[in-house]
Amino acid sequence: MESANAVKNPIVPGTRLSKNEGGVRVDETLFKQVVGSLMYLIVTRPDLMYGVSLISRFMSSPTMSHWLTAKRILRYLKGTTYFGILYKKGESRLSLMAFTDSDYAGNLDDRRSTSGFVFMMGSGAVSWSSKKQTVVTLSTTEAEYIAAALCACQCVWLRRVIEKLGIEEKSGTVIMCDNSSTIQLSKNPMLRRASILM
Amino acid sequence: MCIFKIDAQQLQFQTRPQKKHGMVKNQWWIIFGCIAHVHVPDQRRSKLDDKSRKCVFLGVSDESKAWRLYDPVSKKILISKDVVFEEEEEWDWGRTEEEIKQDTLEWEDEDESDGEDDQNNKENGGTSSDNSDNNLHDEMYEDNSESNTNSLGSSLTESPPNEPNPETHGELTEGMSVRGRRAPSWMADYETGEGLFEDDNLNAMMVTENDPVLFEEAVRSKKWREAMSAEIEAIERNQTWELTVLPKGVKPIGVKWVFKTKLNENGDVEKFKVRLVAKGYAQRHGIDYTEVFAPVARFDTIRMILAMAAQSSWEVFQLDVKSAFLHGELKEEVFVQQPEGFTKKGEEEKVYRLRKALYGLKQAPRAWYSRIEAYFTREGFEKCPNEHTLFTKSKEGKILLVSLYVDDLIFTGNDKIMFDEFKKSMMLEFDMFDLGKMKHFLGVEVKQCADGIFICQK
Repeated sequence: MESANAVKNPIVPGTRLSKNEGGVRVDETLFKQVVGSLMYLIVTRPDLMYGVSLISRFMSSPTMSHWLTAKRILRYLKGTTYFGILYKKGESRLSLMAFTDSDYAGNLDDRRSTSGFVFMMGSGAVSWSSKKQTVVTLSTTEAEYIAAALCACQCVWLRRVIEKLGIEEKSGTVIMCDNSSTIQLSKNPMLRRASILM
Repeated sequence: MCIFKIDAQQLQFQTRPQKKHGMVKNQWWIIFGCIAHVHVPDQRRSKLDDKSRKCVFLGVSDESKAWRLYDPVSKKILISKDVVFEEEEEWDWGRTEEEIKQDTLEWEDEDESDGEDDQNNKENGGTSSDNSDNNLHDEMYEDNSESNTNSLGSSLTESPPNEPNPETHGELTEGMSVRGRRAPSWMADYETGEGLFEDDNLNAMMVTENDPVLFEEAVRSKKWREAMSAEIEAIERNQTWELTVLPKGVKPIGVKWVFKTKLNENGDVEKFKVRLVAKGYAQRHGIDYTEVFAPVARFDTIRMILAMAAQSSWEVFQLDVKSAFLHGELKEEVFVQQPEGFTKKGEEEKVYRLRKALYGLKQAPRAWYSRIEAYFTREGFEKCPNEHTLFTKSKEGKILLVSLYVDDLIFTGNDKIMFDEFKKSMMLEFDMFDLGKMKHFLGVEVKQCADGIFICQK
């Protein structure tokens, strides 16, 4: 990989991987080692989060396409070795802000979606996650709603720790979500009854 | 001396002795106690290791059609089919263990030499203790006479880092390279470009091939012996254990030595580290331990602390507790055997009762956490109920934040006096390394500069 060309993104947008897609099997051990090494990098690299969580689902029987996805992350890393997170000196007010998203039915095998969120504090990200949901959702609204709920859980915990750190969060934490029906659903409790039927 | 009778069925080879001794057909006799060379399978040895081990013949295995043999060096019974006997010879039992070890040592010396040397050995009749061979060594490595002339003290690990070793240099095996690579001394004046690549550095840091595994290997070299004495001394100073008679019905837990050569960023030897560890796998739940859980900090918390420190232009400092687990106090009664090489004369039967934890014990992390938690509470810190490794102390607008990750802890705050007080009291309570400003923490590089704090993992 030392002579590989660097690429601009860790994963090709719209990559869909499947467990049983056939193709040449690759060395399981090597694949696992790569995934493990990448996981270690997650600590300071939120940009790798989705890609790594994606390939880590295929550790038991990796094929060539999984391996290529893993190699693409490595190629991306090659050009971005010096990336990190900078927490800037106090210019902005220190407040927590969250972004959440989901990919609807991103997993081809069981049609489950992936929740993702990232928390910004001041200028840098402090907490992030990308996780396959535990339930099958039937609409983007539902998938986004579940992602937002996961984000809210983390938010509660973060706020409690922040409180101990001596910062008082007077206002609520803003969670940014890009699905209008989910936003409506969260704002208006009356809709929830309808959503049960959804 | 007695003689064993063996079915010839077990042997698929030669019948010469039959003729010689005029035995009945299908029977063959081998003299008990004679020398047997047991073949070591390929998987069990590397290229330059001995192909066979010299053992003493005992008889036939009960379980299989193979020989039983005794290896006086490792003091173990072996069972093998792949044996060549030397009936005329027998083991020289009069020799002391020291002498036997010296034998194997000379073999290891041969390992140390490179392939070219090896050939020379063979030409010289294959004995490395040969004088001419030694001369050859001296000629080749003039700057390095110590390890060759004094073969007793030397083992694989003791070869100085700059010893010329063409085998390890320049050869990168495919896949994962496992060899730690050191530049030979004659290359000291050259820029090689080695070390520019991350991978090389990584290897140098992670892998030290030559650390001894067995106590018997380590005890031969002075540096490990010294390190072991230091470890024992630290344990005794810490009042970790007391010698007692083993109560009836109690099984003591074994201990073993673990050896590790620590290298610094440049790949030079930093120190020889020795740890006495308990064989925690022998512990049984409810008898030797009950609770084992110990919390560690979540990285989100650490990042939040960093974000906050950057925001407020605070500096973040780092402390490291020396042999943290040895501080943990045990609630359970645990008995361990006396460590190899440090048994008390005349009291060999006795065991140690542990007051404090040893590395390797199942409850060691928890014992350590309880200890430090108690310390923080006593010092007036407040534990965060949502993150048990975050401790805060605030008074009159001054605040001190401490986050704990097993034996590494980082702290920040807005008052210098509080820092100093905290550091002082920590130093008094535990053996500490003051690492100054936070630079490396759990594999993450932390740069504290004028416009903020930057974290990355290069």
